[in-house]
Amino acid sequence: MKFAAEYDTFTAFFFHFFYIAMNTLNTQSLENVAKLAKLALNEQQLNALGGDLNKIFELFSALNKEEISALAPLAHPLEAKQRLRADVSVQKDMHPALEENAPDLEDGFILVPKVIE
Amino acid sequence: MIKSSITELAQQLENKSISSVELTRAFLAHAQTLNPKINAFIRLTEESALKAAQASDERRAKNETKGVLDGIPMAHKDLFCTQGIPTTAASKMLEHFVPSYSATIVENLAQAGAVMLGKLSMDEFAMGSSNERSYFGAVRNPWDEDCVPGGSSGGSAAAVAARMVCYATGSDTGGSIRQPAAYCGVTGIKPTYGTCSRWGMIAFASSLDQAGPIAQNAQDCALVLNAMASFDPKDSTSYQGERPDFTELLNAPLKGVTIGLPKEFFNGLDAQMAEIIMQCAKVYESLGASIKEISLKQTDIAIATYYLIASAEASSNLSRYDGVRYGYRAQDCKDLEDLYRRSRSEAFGDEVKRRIMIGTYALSAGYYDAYYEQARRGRRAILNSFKEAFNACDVILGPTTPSPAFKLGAQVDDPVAMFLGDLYTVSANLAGLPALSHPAGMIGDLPVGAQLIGAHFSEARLLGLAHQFQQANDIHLKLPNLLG
Repeated sequence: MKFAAEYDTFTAFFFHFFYIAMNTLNTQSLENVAKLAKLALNEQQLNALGGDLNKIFELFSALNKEEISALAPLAHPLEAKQRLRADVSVQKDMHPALEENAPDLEDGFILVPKVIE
Repeated sequence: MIKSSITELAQQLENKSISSVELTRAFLAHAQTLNPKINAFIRLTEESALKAAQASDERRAKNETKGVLDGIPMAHKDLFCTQGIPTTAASKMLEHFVPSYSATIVENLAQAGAVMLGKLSMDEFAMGSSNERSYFGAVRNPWDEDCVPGGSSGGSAAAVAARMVCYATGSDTGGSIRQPAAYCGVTGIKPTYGTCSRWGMIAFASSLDQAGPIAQNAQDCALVLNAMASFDPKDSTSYQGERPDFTELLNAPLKGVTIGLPKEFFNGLDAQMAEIIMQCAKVYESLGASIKEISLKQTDIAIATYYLIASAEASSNLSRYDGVRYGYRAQDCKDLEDLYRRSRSEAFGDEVKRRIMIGTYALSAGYYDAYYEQARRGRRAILNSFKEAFNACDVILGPTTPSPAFKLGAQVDDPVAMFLGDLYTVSANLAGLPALSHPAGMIGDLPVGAQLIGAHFSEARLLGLAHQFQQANDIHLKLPNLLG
């Protein structure tokens, strides 16, 4: 944890602690994140994760600096533009090869549990 | 012969004092003996290896050799898709996954005549710094079997250190080539982002992932990188420009090269580690380079920036594993949602789940700006600080890791400690810079690595520096006791 004098401004210092207070992950918010992440975690797993994640998110508070907030976000390390190819199929039919990895298959169709009752 | 470098083996193959089949048999026998101890290989592919070796010998007999790598045994990190050969990413999720195509770097090396002996272990989906996160069990460090080999390319580094292969491929998202190379006393380079194709490399964090070689020395790394690197239209982030001959500066004079030592890398660094890096700097000075202290600002935000961006990208990339089309599927699911959630929960390990949770939270409504977007701003600050540093020097020298390899189990329950161990390596990925680790000394019986970071596309310079360091002393030739 940093001391007040180490923060760029008092505002940054205040917001850091306000932020931590507001963002402490409790079991309910973790359950919501697990749902978004399509993970099924039991209470014991959520509790263990909660402790770790709160420590990790405290580590992330190092980014709360005004000089960083003033910068434009960077996506590509070389600032290159994403290259697009022509919207034309270039691969041969890989259906048989890809089917071999399917966990449940019938007549070339992948089976999943009933979606509509 | 298994202790020889690529150049030495290529010469023996060339003058026909050995054949590729003999060489392959020798490496396979050695790997089969040591693997129960080290656990570097998830899978050995003897049959296809011997077939490739036979084909190499036939080419040589007809004077149709493909180059210096032709007939030399190696192995791929199990993150690279190999057509018809299971590729698991060391995860239960992909335990039975057999790719229908090969990664571009696998194709490139096969085209160069590489003889693949098998697939090497790693931390699950490349998430980890100790190789204790493999579904197929922890890999052990050949220098001390009670220690970790580093990660995530721990199988690759351990296999090269134990001479189970002549060289190996690895991937580096936040240090996954350099950190295990340092812990295992071998040389590894992460090239500039976009140099090696990511096609067929199972994605962790796409804006950071980069493939590279791990080998016994810098010269071998240059030879392997020459074969691996290519522009690939199938990877939309592949660099379109020419790749240089990565061996071209191996013997170029170091006079006029300025090496910067960032003061931030030495703040709080263990005294023995600092002493080894300073000795390393003196060797470079004696070879003609000039040394100066520099400042690398924003070192204090590197870990936070990296773990937010990497986890955010991982949570998105790993959403494809849903139990539907391929990969693990949970049984007796009551509906589709249940299938998604249970398949992922039963098949992903704890570290992967932790990072998916971090990434999902950081990208979720209400937190995106505060976490992910702020980390992307932090990424620019880090890139700017490197640009500033490279106005003062040509190459940055520092430790690869804060310490030598730690004991198995020592950090497995402390993710924050594990994250902090990546302090010196993650910045190069965030800025897309090339970075290399080479053996620099020993603490007790464990090797220590020095890291060189250069400006974009300066791989040949980094490899030249490391090569000349390795000509000036024999630290890289030390072998683990288990090799006798």
